[in-house]
Amino acid sequence: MYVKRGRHPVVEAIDTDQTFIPNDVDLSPDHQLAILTGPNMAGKSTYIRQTALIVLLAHMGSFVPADSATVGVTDHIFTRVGASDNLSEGQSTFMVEMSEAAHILNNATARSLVILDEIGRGTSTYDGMSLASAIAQYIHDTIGARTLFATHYHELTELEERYPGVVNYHVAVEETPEDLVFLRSIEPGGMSESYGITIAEKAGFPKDVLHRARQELANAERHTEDAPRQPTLFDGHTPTSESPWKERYEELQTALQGVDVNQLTPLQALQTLADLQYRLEDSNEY
Amino acid sequence: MASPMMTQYQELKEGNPNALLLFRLGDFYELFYEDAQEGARVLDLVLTRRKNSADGEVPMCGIPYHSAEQYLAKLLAAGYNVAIAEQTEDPSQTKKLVKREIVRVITPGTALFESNLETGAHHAIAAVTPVGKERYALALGDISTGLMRAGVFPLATIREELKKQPVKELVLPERLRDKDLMDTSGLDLVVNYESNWYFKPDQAQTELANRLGVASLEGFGFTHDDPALRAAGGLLAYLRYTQQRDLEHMTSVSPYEDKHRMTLDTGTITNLELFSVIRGGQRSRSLWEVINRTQTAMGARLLRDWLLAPLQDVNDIEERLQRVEELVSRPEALTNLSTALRDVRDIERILARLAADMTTPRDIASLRSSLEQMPVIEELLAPDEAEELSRGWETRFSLSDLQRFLYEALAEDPPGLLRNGGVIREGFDAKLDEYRHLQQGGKDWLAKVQEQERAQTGIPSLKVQYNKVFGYYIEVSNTHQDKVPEHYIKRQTLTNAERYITPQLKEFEEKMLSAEEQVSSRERELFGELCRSILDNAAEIQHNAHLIAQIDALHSLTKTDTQDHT
Repeated sequence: MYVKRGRHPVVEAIDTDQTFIPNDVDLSPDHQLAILTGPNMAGKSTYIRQTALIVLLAHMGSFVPADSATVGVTDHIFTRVGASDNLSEGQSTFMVEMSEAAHILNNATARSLVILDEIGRGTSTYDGMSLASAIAQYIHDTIGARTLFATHYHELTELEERYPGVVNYHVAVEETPEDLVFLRSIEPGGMSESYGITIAEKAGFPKDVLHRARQELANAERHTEDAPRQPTLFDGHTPTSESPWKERYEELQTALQGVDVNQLTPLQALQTLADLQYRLEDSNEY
Repeated sequence: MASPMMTQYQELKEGNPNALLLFRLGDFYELFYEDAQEGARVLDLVLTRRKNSADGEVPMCGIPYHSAEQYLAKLLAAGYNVAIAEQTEDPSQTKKLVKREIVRVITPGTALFESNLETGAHHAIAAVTPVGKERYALALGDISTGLMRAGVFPLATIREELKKQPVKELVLPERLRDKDLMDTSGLDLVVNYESNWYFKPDQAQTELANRLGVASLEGFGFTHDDPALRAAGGLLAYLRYTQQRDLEHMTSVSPYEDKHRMTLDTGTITNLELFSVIRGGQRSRSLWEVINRTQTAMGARLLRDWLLAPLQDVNDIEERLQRVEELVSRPEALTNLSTALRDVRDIERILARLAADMTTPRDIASLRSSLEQMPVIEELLAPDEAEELSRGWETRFSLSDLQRFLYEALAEDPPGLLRNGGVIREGFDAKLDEYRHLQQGGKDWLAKVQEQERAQTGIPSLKVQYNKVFGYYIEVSNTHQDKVPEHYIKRQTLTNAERYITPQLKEFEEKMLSAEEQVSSRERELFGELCRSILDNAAEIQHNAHLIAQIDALHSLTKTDTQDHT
């Protein structure tokens, strides 16, 4: 399929005061699986959903929000996006995510469109990344469905070199010394950085946390050679005994590790975050 | 020994053990025994006791019949079925216990009153029955529009379908009670049971053949003894039970056509926020809210179907797109089409209410004005200019006889209720006109009487009037009491006047009442004929309604706000 300057019909209709940045989609037969990287909030989800909606509208016999679109006949649109509605039904987020993925892997055909958003997020990093990678490879080798795969695992961009049908895209951002600007345009190639810390800064994180996070990131990156082993959040940094931070950090570490992400409601997650922040602010008094 | 009335109650209750029984007593529907206890709790009513030497103390509570709908809506929302027992003979015409019958059983999937139905969406009910190893027949119906589809699927597909529509009520054969056929958690539906008998192949076929007036269902696209029909027959029997009558607007059943449709599973429908927004602020909208520009409820329902099951055949897609393009290329016709469609009411649901004997004169007027838009729309489609667009319109039924009948028989602007009178147009029926003339003549005569009485008694302020309690009377103010003649009979004393009757007025009153009764009974009769002739054309009207729905949905697709396309 090929879409020139596609737009999201709903976002476009709501945000009338903001110009919607149109984007192309190219999932031609020789590169049917697109890996899309880029920071959160940059527009990955909008882009992959708009692509699904364009395919849907085209099959309804409707005009589509794009300058032009060539869409092959599609038998099924599969989506696995975000944590959605099943939380109240008592299944864990990760279980829901995996059963939806299983449904796709078992039922998609070469004529399907598959939309995957942040698959594998609900488990530990290496688990999730391995699953995501295996899913992408299976879709590429066995199913052959047109696929848009949005992920923050930039390791997945390596698949482009190993598989002829895989192509990388990223959402463009412009980083200025003060700010991070989301350009909302989709560009070829992968993105190696996820700007998580920059975004945390935008969200108003305390300076000390940001500083610590940057240190941790540097550490983690140094440790990637030690893989495979599971990095923990406080890996590579053991506060020295004379540090007045030590006790606080150990306390924070315990608190963080004790959080079962799969069992949290969004509200509880926010409360936990607020609580952690509160404890950190306490630490600043040292 | 129970009283005759409670015996009657018990008999009706035994026939409908799974429903709360609303038992009509004068101006109230009463609930008794356990029903009363549950009803009082759910509806927040006062639970009282009916004391009677024969019955002892019977718990009861009641709701006024004229505001029953709001209570029924609450009972439905709480998951109850409700059986309505009406008095089916005039209490004044019998000395014995008045006859009562169940006239309707109200369930979440079959209740036709307005507050239970969503305008632009189907009100789906489904029936499922096992037909082989891991194979189940599914029938999906909408009693409010007459739609019915049937197919055979594995259970997982059926569960998806129930969630997708969404289905409000699931009907299973009695033998599956307590069998845990499928996990219905996450589905917002109630499960009810119908006798196994109706799901048997022969019986189901008979049920369908009788209703659709055919010997074989092959004409509807099913194979001979297609197992899917077992669910369809069971569903139809259940619907007939709930309305307690043959449903004349259920005029067809069609096979699922999944091969030519794209599959959207419920996960995708949710994730893509097609009909509702998962999260987000007040500015979020679903795709449906953005693209739905239909003018009619029928168009909205069809467009919804199109969105739920997009096409998969290139030719079908091209054809639909071609029709949209033809419309776009004629902006003036498009504008006029919008206007014409705006005057089309929900023909399908009017037919459903007609079939269920719940219609009003105003409904019929809406149907009439909607049908009148058909030639207007056809004209706008102008086949010579828009070849694809007008496709199918050659099959439109002209229904000119029916339309003439509707025009001639039904008043220009009839009242909401039949009993208010004035439903039938002046000049349509000689008999009715004669009765009305009598009534009218009566009013003139009354004015004359007032003149005469004033002249004879010399009381200038004397009035001849009517009220519901005393009938016709002469009112004389206190200042003129001394002039009242002897033959006046005093009826009522007011603070500043006295009211009288005379034998002459009484005689007149009887004549008027009988004229009134004749007018209303004749109107009822003629209105019945009108309804009958509409129902006799139900299938044709539905076909026309579908043509309108299609044009409306296409018209909406032209409004999908886009700059350009290929």
